[in-house]
Amino acid sequence: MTYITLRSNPSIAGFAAVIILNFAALLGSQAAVIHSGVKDLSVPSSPAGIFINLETETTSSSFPSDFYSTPSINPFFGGTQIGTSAELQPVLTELPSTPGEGQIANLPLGTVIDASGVFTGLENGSSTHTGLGLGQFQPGVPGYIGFYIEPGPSSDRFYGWMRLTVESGSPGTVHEWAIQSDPGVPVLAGLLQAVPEPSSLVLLYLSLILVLRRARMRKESHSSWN
Amino acid sequence: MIKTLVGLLFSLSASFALGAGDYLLESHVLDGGGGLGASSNYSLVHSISEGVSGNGTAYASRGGFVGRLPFGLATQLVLSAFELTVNEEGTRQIDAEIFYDDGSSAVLPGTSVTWSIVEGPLASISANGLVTADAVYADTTAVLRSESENVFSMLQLTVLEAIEDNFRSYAADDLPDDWQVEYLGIDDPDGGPGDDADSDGESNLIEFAFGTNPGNSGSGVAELDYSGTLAGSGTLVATGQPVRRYESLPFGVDYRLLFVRRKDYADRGLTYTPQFSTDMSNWVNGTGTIEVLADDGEHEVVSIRYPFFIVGRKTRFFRIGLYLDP
Repeated sequence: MTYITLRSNPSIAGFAAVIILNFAALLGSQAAVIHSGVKDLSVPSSPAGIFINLETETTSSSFPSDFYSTPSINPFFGGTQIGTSAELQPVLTELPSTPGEGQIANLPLGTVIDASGVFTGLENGSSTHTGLGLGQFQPGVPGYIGFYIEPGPSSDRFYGWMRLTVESGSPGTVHEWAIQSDPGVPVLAGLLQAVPEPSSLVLLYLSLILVLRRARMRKESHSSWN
Repeated sequence: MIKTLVGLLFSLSASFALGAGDYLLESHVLDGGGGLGASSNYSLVHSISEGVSGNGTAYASRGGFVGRLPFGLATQLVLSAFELTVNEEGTRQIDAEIFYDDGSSAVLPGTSVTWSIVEGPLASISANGLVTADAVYADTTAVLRSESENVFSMLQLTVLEAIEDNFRSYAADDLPDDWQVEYLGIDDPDGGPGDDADSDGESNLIEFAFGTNPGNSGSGVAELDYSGTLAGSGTLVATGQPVRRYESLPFGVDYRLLFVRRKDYADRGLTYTPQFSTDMSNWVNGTGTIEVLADDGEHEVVSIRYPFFIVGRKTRFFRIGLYLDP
């Protein structure tokens, strides 16, 4: 897996994503990352939590009968516990010693999510992804889940990510998610662009520099007004 | 003349014949007590040891009271026993002693007394005063009556609850009789362990094991009430159905299943096995230590870790397997 380190600022990241999406179009990529829009779904601090079907984008507060036959995710207890169906494979920190008990990884912004990720292909329950360790979700701090879904009867994998804030003892939040429109095409955690070709990385970095510089200029401009 | 001779015999303490012109004293033999002898002119019969009854043409003797007249007036009959208790389905010998107006008394053979049961769980009393107790569900008072020589007496015994599961229709059904009688009364036809006397969906055995009332349909379905933290030191406010409880941890949740267990479960052969499932079809036993959080003297509320997932699937159901050793 390749990591592209960006500053973990959602507002800048979102702004950058729009710019980069335009760049991607300039680069001639046909793939698109389909964004959910900002959802900010509450994850109750209860045993039920929230059930999200990423294929239909429907949510439920009670266990849906098709949970394990659809690409679905169920964060509960504020997101400190996350269940996923086999149709939705989260990126894990490592292959679990016990099947179904993999720890979902908190991916840095810009992490490439592709076939190189750690997936089990099984239904999974993650209980240890909250903490202060590397790859864990810190309560109150947004993080990214990488995943692929296999909707319908096909075995095509569509990569995607989900921005999530877990909380312990209070409701967490599923902020948004995005899924690559084309099967097998990687995505970048937190970003709405396709992964550029290596030759395009230079342009990507340049665009990021422009974005960051523009953000800095805007900040300085605001400061001068005050 | 005979009296004189007898008196002479006593005074001489001799065992040989004496002779004179006016009388003849035949040789005779007295026994060791010095009082049994006979000749053609007299006879001497009397008791030689205390406590032996005897009589002759000129006397009557009853134990210990030489020469007491035979027609004294009985004034009191006193009953006694080694202990005034008898274990259920056990026996106890009752003794009778009669007292007369001259201050004398006599222990009566049981067969000299008329026995009867006045009340209480006594199965029978034999002709010689041996009482046999019925089965009881709790210590119970019984009264018996005896009569002799126109006096009678009553005796109160306590029949002790000594066998837990032997009472009438509740016998040998693995439920303690006193519990069944307390909640269901005597001989409830729906009082067996597999019955559901209050039709709340929980068998009487389940209600016994979880401390609820088998005669109250609202009791068995209510959840247990525990006031306290999962660390313990709380109070079992009310027994009832198992419940899930959780408390926040810095990076997660302490998620537990709480249930009521009898404190004497091991002695009664009861085994509680918490089980969990994702689909109500496949069940797995809970793992981890069962911790006691509180107790009310008879029951305790315990907890076990509630698994979030079972082989990748969310744990959605739980139950407590209850096993009774045969």
